[in-house]
Amino acid sequence: MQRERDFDDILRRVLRTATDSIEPSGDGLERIRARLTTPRPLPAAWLMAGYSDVALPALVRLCSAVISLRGWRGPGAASRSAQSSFAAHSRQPGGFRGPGWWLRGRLALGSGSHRYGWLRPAAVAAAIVVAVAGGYALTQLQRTISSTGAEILQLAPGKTHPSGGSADSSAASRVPGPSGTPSATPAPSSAAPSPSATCSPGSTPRLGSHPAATTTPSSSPTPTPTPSPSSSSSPSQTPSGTPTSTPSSTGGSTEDPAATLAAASAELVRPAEHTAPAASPRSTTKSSPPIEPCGSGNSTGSPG
Amino acid sequence: MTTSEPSGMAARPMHVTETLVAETALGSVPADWDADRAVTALYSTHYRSLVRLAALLVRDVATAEEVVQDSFVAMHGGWRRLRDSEKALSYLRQSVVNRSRSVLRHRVVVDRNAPKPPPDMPSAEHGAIVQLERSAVVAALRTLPPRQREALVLRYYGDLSEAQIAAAMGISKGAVKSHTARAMAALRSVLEREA
Repeated sequence: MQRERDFDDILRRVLRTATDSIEPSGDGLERIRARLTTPRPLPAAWLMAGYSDVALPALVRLCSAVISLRGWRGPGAASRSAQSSFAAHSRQPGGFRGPGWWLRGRLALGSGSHRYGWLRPAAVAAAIVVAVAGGYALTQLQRTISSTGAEILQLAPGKTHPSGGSADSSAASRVPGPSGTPSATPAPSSAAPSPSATCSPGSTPRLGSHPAATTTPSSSPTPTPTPSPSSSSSPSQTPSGTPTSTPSSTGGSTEDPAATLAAASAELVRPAEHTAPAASPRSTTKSSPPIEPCGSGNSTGSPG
Repeated sequence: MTTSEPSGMAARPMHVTETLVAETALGSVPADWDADRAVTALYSTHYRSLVRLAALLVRDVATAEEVVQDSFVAMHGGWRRLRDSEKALSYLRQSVVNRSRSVLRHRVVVDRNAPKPPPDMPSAEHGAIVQLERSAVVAALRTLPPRQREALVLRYYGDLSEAQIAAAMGISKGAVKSHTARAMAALRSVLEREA
């Protein structure tokens, strides 16, 4: 143990003695200050070369990428804006102040009030999605409303009767069959043969339940093509009877209210027909107008 | 054993290892000091000892001065990043050790590839190095691996504790103990063989 201590002391003393002869030059502080004030030529040259050839283009691209990530305003817009702003800054009278200043200036935009600038693309995308979804929903809603309104008008004829009887006519045109026959004033025979007898059986009870439907003789009246009003039932079964012909014929006939009701119903139902344009030609060619509103499958209803 | 301050500094005789030992007294710099002031203060108190420490590591006075000056420049540049200004001396010492390693690595490559220069007139620094190499202990120290040599120099020249050596070398205390023990064993065997 004592030997080790002696050896440690010897080593310590030898090292100190050996370094006593080393005396640093006195201009050490001046040389340090000179290095602090002026950069060394070779590293400075390397730094400038690297900065001008590699660092500057890379910095410009990096900043353009950062800006494009922060707020994407179209293809090439970010890089163009970055380059233009960089060029504008470099053309300032104060001269080029280095990439650090420019980068700090660019990034400072996102540090304050635009801290959440990266949410802009998401917000724009969300707004677009909401707008598209809203438009689609409005379109569907409009279609639904129109179809529902048409059905309501068809299913509740008595309520609209006072105003114009459009529902009556539509109901009559749609369900002139069995339900309409008892209600039809002219004669049971007139309603029975009506082609719409096959149409929408579910609605017939309503018509039967509503006494107001009795006024719907217009169902039978559809047979307008006939010159004589009394024989309206028979001609109505004829396929030649078209809705277009109804008003004209009815105009001449004695049943003016019925004709007007039919016309009004046709006008009201027309929007619903736009959704299925193929139905109208079929109905016109095959059967009488009352079948038209029934639409889809029953339009082929028995002609007679 | 006493030396004088460098020219331009306050002349105050002190022991060679005084500045390295009394870290809390002379190595700490007030936090509100700026970099220039701190560099000046640390230079006046620690420059010589750091140069001698670097000379023991790199065996060249001019290179040792270069290393220490680079360390001061680096400390000046990173003064704001220095979390604890009171550890400025530790920062300087670690920087000196690291730069000395770099110098030695570079020197190994240069000595391996470059041709031998023609003999010139020996300078004063060369004489100091020769005197340094003349010591048997220093010659034996030169044969040690770099880490063991660093550990011995910091331990017996700088009178640093194991923790301070570990901080300066960037290794653990256990590694410091291991390096020191191996270095002492190797040095003792070399000296006994020569004796």
